[in-house]
Amino acid sequence: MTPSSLDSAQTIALTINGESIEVARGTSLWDAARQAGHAIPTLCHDPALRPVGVCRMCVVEVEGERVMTASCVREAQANMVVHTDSEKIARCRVGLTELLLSDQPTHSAREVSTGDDALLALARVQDAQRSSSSPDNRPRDDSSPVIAVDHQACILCDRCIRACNEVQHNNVMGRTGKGYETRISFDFDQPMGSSSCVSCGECAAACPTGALVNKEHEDQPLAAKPTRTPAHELVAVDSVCPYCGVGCAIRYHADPKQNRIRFAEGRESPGSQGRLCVKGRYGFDYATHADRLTTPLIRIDYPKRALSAEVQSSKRRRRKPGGLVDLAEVMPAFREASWDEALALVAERLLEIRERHGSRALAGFGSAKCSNEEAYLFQKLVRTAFGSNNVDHCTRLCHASSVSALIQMIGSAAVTTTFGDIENSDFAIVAGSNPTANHPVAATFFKEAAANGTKLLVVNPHRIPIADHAWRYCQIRPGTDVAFFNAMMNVVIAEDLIDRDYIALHTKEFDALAKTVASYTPDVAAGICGIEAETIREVAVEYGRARAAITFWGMGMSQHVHGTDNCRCLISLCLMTGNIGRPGTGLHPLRGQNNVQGASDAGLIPMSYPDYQPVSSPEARARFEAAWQIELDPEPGLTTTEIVEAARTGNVRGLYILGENPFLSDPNTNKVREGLGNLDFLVVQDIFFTETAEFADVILPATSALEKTGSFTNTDRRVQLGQPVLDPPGMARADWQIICEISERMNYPMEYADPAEIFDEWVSLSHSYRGLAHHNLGPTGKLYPCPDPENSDGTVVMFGDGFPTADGRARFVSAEHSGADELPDTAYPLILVTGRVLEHWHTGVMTRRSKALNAIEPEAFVSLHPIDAEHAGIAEGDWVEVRSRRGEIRLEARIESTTQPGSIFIPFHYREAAANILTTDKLDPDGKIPEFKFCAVSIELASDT
Amino acid sequence: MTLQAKIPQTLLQELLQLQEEFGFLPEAGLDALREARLVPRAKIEELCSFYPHLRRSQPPAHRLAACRDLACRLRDGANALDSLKTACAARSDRSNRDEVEFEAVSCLGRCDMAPACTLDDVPLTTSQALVALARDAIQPIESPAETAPVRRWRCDPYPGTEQHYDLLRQTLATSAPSNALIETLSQSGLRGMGGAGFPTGRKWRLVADQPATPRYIICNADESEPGTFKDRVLLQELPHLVIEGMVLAGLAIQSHQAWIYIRHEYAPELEKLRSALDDARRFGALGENIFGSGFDFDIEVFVSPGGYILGEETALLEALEGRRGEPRNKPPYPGVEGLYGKPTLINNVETFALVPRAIQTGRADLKFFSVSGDVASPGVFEVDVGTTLRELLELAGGIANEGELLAFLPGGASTGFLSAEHIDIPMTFDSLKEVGSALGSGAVVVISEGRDLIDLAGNLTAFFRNESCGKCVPCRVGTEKAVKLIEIGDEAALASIPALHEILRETSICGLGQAALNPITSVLENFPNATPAGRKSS
Repeated sequence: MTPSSLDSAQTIALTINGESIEVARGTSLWDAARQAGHAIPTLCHDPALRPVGVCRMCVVEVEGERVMTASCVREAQANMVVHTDSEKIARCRVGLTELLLSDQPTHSAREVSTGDDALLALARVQDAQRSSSSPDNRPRDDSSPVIAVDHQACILCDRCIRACNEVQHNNVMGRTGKGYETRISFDFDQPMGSSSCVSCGECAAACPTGALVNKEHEDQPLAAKPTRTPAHELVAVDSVCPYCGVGCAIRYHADPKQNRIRFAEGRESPGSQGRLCVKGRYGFDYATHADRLTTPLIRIDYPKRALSAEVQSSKRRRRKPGGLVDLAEVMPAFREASWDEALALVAERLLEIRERHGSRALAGFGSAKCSNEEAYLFQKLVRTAFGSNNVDHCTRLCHASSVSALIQMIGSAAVTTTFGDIENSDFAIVAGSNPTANHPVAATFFKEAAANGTKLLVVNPHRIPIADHAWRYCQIRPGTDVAFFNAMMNVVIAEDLIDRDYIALHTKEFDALAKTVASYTPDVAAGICGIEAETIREVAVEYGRARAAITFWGMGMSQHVHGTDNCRCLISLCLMTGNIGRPGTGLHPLRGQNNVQGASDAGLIPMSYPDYQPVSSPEARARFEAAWQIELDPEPGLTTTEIVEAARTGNVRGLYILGENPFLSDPNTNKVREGLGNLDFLVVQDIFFTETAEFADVILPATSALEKTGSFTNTDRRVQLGQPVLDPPGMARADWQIICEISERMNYPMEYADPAEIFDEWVSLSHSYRGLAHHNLGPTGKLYPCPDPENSDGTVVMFGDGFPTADGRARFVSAEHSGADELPDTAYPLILVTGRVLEHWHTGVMTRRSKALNAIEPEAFVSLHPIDAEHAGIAEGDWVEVRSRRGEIRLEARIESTTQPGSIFIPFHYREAAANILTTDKLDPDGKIPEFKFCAVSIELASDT
Repeated sequence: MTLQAKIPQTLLQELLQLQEEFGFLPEAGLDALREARLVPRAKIEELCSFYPHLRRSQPPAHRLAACRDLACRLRDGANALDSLKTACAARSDRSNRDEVEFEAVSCLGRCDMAPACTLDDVPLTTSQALVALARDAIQPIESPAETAPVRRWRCDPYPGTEQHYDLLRQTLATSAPSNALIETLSQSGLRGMGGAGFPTGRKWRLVADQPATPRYIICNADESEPGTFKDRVLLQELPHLVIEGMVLAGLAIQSHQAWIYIRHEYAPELEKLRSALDDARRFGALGENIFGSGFDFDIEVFVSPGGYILGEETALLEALEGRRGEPRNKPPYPGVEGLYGKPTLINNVETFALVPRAIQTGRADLKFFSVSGDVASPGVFEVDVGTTLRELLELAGGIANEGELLAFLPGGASTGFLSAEHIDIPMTFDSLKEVGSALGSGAVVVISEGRDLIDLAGNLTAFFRNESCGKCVPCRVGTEKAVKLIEIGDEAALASIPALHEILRETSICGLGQAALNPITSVLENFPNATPAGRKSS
């Protein structure tokens, strides 16, 4: 075949408006015309959505055809003669616009929100006239907390429906009725607010009219409408979402005059592809909440004690609507101070403790919500100015066990491929993860893959929403993951579905593993995990036969006393089938916080310097001592949970907490209360007055992610730059600046012009990040490793050829099923599983101050199965008391058949019913992670309500 | 060769079964269905709200559906609607409960019984219905027996039932029949009788030439356009010819699975059709190994959940695939990408019924007409191709009440009104096209002098508005606007119709929208005296 004939096979020639043009075969007439320089107007078409051709605005004439044709749904054919702008076409298009205009409400709600009413814009261009205004006789629906629906403005373009069903795969929207009476609808034509809508806002973003628009939702009403800053005067800032590890690319539209964000929208990026969830799209207003800390505070109320009723004791719980810390209750214990005074006091007290009790009496909690630069600086501060390795952050509470298993077995803790790589998988495991709540945008890609034929195996004790998209859903008993996955391996080996070549070439110690799993036959495992042996066989065989299988997991795997064992099983399963190192294969522990990956990479963990260089390694220590020009402690430091324990026993006496709220996030609150209360000195740096801050001696007002520059590394290893959108309130300062100030006052000066300079220093010490700098991250970041950022987006699939271990091989590590720390008994017959809900973030400090998010999920609740509810005589909405050996909380009951009988679920966001009052602080021996996913509790109707 | 693996049941089919079982869709049933199929609520809502046959609440004990469309309107239909409605209300008042539900519906395909209605799905004339409603207890009314003697139709080559399917038997006995069949059919000149008149042989050839398999066949028995009821009579009286035509098509295009898509209002005909299918299977003319030839072919019946738009072939496909019956953008046409994306041959009932004769004699010389409106004896007539309107009028007993011809629709509601000057026009595809009209579905609706054509055109426009699926803007909004303009009816309002007509004709997705304003536009063009301006000047 000659090159020219090859070309002609792939392209076709046609005539558009008298000019000949060549386009690729399969091009639509709409695209072909655009390529030829003729933009065709449209209302229903969006290149990101499947074309439907219903608005008919894009009609063109094809010579020889009886009537016009919609160009968005018409494939260009060779030798077609097409007209896109005849008088007749123009007449018809104006006519269509006028038909639509005649039904529109007098004022477009869109023009005053996002300012992009496409119908009105088109009408202006066409000079189309509104013939007669029909009465506004179609209903409005204001039931959703975030979106206003006006059916009168709806033109049935189908964009919202496609956005809901085909982009977000939420399948909430459709059309109801027929003909002129057709309307968009939610579920069984319910009000949007009482439908299964998850408020992702993709529909409102897709809507071209005022039919679906974002509601105004700041807590403080902005200026009255007539003086509102017009949409075109808003400033657009490209940044990255501050919530979860998915790290969606986001664009904020801010009103600079009022220092407010008006709205947010998704931005094209290889990862999130323009999608957002409810937190990203509607949860930004926390930053401008009136409760923000704006000035340094120094405690005047001694002896120290917890201040609010909720924090003082689990006994003093009263029934009241859930909510925020009462500033009137806590502020009298503090006085305002200048930065100088506060910083001097912090340095003085910390130095004093170091002097008297040694470096290891000091510790720091950094935060996975801060930037890479801040994480790097904070661990540097603790290791240099404090002089110990007692620095950790909430990774200890989420994926510490995953990290220890990954490091042990494959020598690297980051994901081996991106979440989006699932599109190349024919099989995907989603184990112990509730992605639609915790990684909502990643979940859209899982659902999309499932819709496109990827077999999704969902393993979870609770029937989470993603299970509805699963090929098989296995509702295992809580804490039986090892048995289940060992049995899968047993079958894969028995059926000879292992990849012998891969095992021989890239792994070691397979035989020991095979020996262990040999006893976990499906029948044995069935007795433990509650899944029928036949089902285990079926899913294992299908997994074993998969061409490319990918594995995702979350806290359901990691937050156990055998969390590391759980993860070992997943890794072994993946290794024995060679499902790693190729597109569509790999291991992906879904990272929770927006920067938990980056914070760990930056060394915000007690056992490693940046880039996981072990503190225990003399070479590594020498490298950092040279770089930082100071002698470093050769002993690994304490972990988060160990620091709290050390505070209780008096071994840690001074603590600097930056952006964490251990009072609510750490297990066994009674112990945390003791630990925090026992400290000689606590400095808390945050954006709001947290429960933890009640124990502080000094509180420092920091900036939110929306007010500063900094890089964040998402679950995919994508390093993205966040940009300031708002001015910080009052005297609040960027965290990195505060760290530098404290360090200087502790006689270890750190001078940086800006975060970019901090980034450069960190990168110079981190092989994984080599080549990256703020200026080359680009608008959508880079996937590290990315040695050539000018020409590459970075590395999607890792370990195609061996592993970063001493011998380049991965190592099989077997695990035996072992029970949870605290099994149910007659006094505490139920299993408590804690976790998160879609709308809230961790301890609720940010999300409960977002009007929209708080409106959707305002109160603490416990979810229990109808069988358990009936047994305990509990009805939907009842006020119940849940007890464990450590304490009790009171909250509202939700009865849901998605919860497994014998097990209850409580989200841990709510200070007034803090789930961690109940949890056990027993740790996984390797990952030191607590068992948030399993403890024994009882439940009964609250006696006095 | 074995029959194709059965296509899995669609959500729509399951809803229809639920409806069948309970008479409506109980909430618990929907929940169970939703959980079993993991189907989003919105998908169920989309179907329930689109198909009139599906209902979410328990209906009253009885249901009366009365036609509100043209042919019935011409026979005092407006008064019939009133009196039936009153009778139903009175009935419910008397029994102190919602005993009889009344609904004005689109054309029932019983224009020869005009003004027609159905009581509990049994077709009745209005006077029969009024009698039934006046009885003490509304008993399940016995189907009015076909009193007329069984007619001999010229297109039926078989003198008696024992000869049925002889042509098929002979064809199967000859070798390599596929090409020859299509060739013979092409030569006969048979054209599609559903409205478009596409050469049948060419359509079969096109589908047969598609490389993709399996190929499917659909008989479109969803005739629902006001004035059209010929297919109903064919299904009632010549079902074996329809079946034989379909099996021959299967042979010709190497298809093994077919559907007959029939409107749910044709309950008695459906029964007849089902028993004919059973007969054919017993006879060996349908099913596996037909007449021992090794050829497999089977036909399923799909009862439409309602709506004129389902007669549009791609809307019909959407319904068969279990979605809202909204027409697809074309191309691709069904012959290339039809049911489940496979090549699909769709022909009308009459087309299939005429296939045996066309193949046997090589001629396509007959045409069926439904004649209704202002004629003495409305009915279905089988005539030679080329018969004029004048001759058809004679067969139908002439203009009712010895009136004069004012206008007529030659081929159903979408073809537009022609004036009496065309009374001698041969009723063929080509000659009607020459005068800017069309043969359409062969539904001749006759209008006598004294009728208000604007009113009648308004009635037809309302029909299209009522039956618009709502998918595309011009049809959804444009038909509603047109109805309003005709209601206003002044010069200015009517003057804006032609521009609106252009938008609908040029930009609508399917024929419904494209033709929706043909009736009113044709009145404005061909009958200047019918307009207010015309009346003023005359």
